Amino acid sequence: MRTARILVVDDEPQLRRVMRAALTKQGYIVGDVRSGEAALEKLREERFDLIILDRNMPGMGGVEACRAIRENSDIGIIMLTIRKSEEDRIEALDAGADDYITKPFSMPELFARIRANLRRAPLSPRQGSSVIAFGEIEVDLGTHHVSIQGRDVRLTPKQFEVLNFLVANPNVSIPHAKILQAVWGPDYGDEVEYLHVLVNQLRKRIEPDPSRPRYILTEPWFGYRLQLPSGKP
Amino acid sequence: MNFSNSESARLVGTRILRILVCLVLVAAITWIAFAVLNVNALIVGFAYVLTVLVVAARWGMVESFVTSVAATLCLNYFFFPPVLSFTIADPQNWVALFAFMVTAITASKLSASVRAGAAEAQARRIEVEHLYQLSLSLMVVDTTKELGPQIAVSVKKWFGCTTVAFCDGLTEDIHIEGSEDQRLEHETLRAIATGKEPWFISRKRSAPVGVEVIAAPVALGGKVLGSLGMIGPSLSEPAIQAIASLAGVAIEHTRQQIVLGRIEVVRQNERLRSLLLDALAHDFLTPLTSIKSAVTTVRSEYKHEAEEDDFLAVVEEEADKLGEMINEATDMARIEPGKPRIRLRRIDVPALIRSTLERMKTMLEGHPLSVSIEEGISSVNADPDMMGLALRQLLGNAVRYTPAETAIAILASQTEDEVIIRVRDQGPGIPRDELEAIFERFYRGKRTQESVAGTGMGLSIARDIVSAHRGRLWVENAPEGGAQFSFTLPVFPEDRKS
Repeated sequence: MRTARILVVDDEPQLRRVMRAALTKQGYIVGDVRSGEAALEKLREERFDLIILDRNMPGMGGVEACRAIRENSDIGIIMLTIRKSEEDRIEALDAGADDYITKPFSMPELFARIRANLRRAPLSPRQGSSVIAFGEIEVDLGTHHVSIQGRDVRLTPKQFEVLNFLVANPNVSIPHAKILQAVWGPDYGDEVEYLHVLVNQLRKRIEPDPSRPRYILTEPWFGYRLQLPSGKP
Repeated sequence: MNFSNSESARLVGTRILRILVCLVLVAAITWIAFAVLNVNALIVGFAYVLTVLVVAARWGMVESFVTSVAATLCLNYFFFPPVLSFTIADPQNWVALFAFMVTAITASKLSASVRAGAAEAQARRIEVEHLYQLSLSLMVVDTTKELGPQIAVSVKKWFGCTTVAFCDGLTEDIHIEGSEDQRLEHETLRAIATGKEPWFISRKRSAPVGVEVIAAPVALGGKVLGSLGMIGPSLSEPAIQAIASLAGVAIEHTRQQIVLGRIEVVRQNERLRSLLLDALAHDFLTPLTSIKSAVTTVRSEYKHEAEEDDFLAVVEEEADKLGEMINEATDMARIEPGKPRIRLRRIDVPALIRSTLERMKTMLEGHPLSVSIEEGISSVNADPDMMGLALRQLLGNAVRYTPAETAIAILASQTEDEVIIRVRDQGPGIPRDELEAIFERFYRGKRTQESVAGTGMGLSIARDIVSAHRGRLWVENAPEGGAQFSFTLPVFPEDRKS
């Protein structure tokens, strides 16, 4: 497997220094920049697999940078935050971050998150045979393409994986923790707001009326359920 | 004083002048009628009545009365036979003369009362105008300066008083505008201002004519705020009351402005303190993040001896402690005093207690803990971040204010629609007179403020948080010793035991 490339975006030089050394020692190829603007610039020139993005930076902050990156990329983004309040977390996730970690953090924890976010459902070798259709929606498990009425819908990898997991377990209620562990990794389970935000984003993309979902249903205080239209397997 | 005397002298002079004019008028009519035209008594009688009416309407009772008498005498002397004598031959003429006199006097009286009414109306109109001006000037008083002098100046200016005194009901200070005047008794003003004297308006006529010495209470809504003394032209009772009311409104308004200003200053201070704390926390956290990530990298990625790892572990643990303290400070700084913003959701009580204890593990070290949670306790409707913060304040207090090695107990029980969580320690308890005070912002216990570090914010914030959840937080001393903090939280609606 080829070496993953990680871009570290933080205005604190000491932290960039530590991260560059530690991540390089882990075997990643590391690039680092000091601002959101520089990150966008760097992403135009080079390809990365994951971005570690500080939330609080002078100039273009992390949230804004995250939104800008998301406009034309579904690269994995881990946000570094200092605040623990729920609103800040949701703001980061809403902007398109896949994960966040609170400063100060321990490196092994960051490594685990990086591994979880680099992990992707492997492309299925049997393309074409793994298309699941329900309602107007078609999900190609092989190519990760999702389309509604033949129109392509772009999903981030995490959004696709959640949808993929739900499609694999249709018509049953799945607890939050199980989805989190399946999609983010075994270290996860309590981060229910990740799911809330992500499912809302997913609904906006595939539901005809996101405020009254037909397919991805909420099971209050428990989890989610993918409801396939009756009459179809 | 001289001014008042010359004023009344001037009034008397004017009146004498007017009476002279009246007499000249009567004499002129008599001369024209008797010597030039030679008309009869009837015609000249009408002319006299007309003159009396004009005088009454123009100048008033005294002048018209004098005119009436003069006219009657002239009528008798010059026109009733025998002429040029005061004797009257025909008894009919006695009747006529009497009728003339009654007519003249009645007419002059009527006319004068109409005139007085008009003058009264005019005076009221002017009073109202002046009251309006007074209300305008009291509306724009300078709230940063003392109010008494400003009220006195305005009243003096608009009501033509020679002296105005204002006595403040709180300070009992008397401010006098204009010349000091013995007739305004300071003792009386003070007695009225402090409410010792029953409040009524006292008015005494004083020399010269038309001048009154007035003392009136300044009150609003039944509360006496001060008193007002005036020496000046007579004012109607309603006008005096209105002046006093306007002064009262101005005082109350100013006091409210001052209180509001003070609240605003406190609010600004709080905001500034929060901003500062937040900025400071951020500045501390940045290098701490580098330390933590560096030391954890070394510990996990590089080979080293076990004893080397002990040192690194100390660095990491102490960095964690610092981080925890900084996060706690930021959390506290972010809470708006009095009204923390909360996002309610269903929370499992055992999980809340467990995660809080987990987070405070290092701090609670050395204190034996006992946790007892009622079997099958309902979930609560609460904000997990905020409730965790509140619970940490109570536990942190229990640790800070009790000797090491003493036990701390956490108990959770429930009633029909409330869950009660208690934190009980085995410390010295809380002095009876401080049981409420410790929840005030920035209050530090008298006994411990020297020996224990703290901001005096924790309990106040904890209470704000619990209140925002519609719960109560209180403290009592347990009978077996030690303090026991308790708070209630509403049970999650769908979990309510029916």
